[in-house]
Amino acid sequence: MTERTVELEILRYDPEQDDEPHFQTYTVPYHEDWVVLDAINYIKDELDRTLSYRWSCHMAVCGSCGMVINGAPTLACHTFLRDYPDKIRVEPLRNFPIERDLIVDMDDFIGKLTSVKPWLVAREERSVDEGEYLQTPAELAVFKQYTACINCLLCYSACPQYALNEPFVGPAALALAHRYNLDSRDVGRSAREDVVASNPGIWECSFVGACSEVCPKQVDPAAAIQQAKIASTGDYFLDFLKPWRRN
Amino acid sequence: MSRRPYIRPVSTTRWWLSEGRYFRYMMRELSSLFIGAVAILLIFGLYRLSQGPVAFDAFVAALLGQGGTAFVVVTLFFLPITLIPGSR
Repeated sequence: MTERTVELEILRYDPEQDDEPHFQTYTVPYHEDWVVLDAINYIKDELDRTLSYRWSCHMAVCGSCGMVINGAPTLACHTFLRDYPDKIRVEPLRNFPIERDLIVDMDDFIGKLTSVKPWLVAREERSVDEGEYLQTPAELAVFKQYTACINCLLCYSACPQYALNEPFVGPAALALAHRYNLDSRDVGRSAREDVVASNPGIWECSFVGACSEVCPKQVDPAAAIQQAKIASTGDYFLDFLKPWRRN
Repeated sequence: MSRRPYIRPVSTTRWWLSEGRYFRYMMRELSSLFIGAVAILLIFGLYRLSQGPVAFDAFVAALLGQGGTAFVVVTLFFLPITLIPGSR
């Protein structure tokens, strides 16, 4: 009996030799319990050690192995071979420059993420000796969903707004900004406002909703952005009614 | 080793044909024109109602004519699109 195999068509790009990317096909053994990442690791170990890609945890926690698999932005460690036909097409995440093979250049995202100050801006800094910033379970529940983001960039790969409009801050960064804005321990909302409530921030999201559909952690960035739009609109009118409220 | 990242081209005019979810999104956006038209039509109907039964009957008759029926059929076409999961 011949062993069942799967064909992986992988988009290859070597910046030192290629003018543009091309597909290369590899035949790998089929295993019922293999995810696409296992098949790619097999290629790296047994067939072609020049293949470059990112991965780390193999359990949908680190967010490193985001790829476009048969046209859909997916984590390669979260996608079983058994759910695909015998030919699988693997490409790097869309909407990012290809650095090499399946590795994309994330610099633009990292810059945007940093610009929304995704950290706790406390009312007053405390030393470690002074203990934690306390919070009730109900206060945590308000934003807990948005803490699950693993920065895997599937949402950016699915977002047509980001594809067509590079300055757009994008789903994950805006969802994380919203996560801190909702945190009862945080007072950084006005410090984030210049980026978040600007045109390239929440207002250029046209609510396609693809980000939330592809999110492997059910973060729902589209909901975060729409909630942030409502909050920003409230701010706009409150500033008219109570111009002194921010001083 | 030098960096030479490759930027893949994106079509600014045909991107919405590349995936089902983008196409449904564009149909949802297009449906807003018809929803707006229905709203104007209903307001116009109220105006005709305020002018009396003769005016209102003429309005209803026009709505049941070929043009009115075609408009309702096209408007109804957008209803299932907005109800498909993932198109909202």
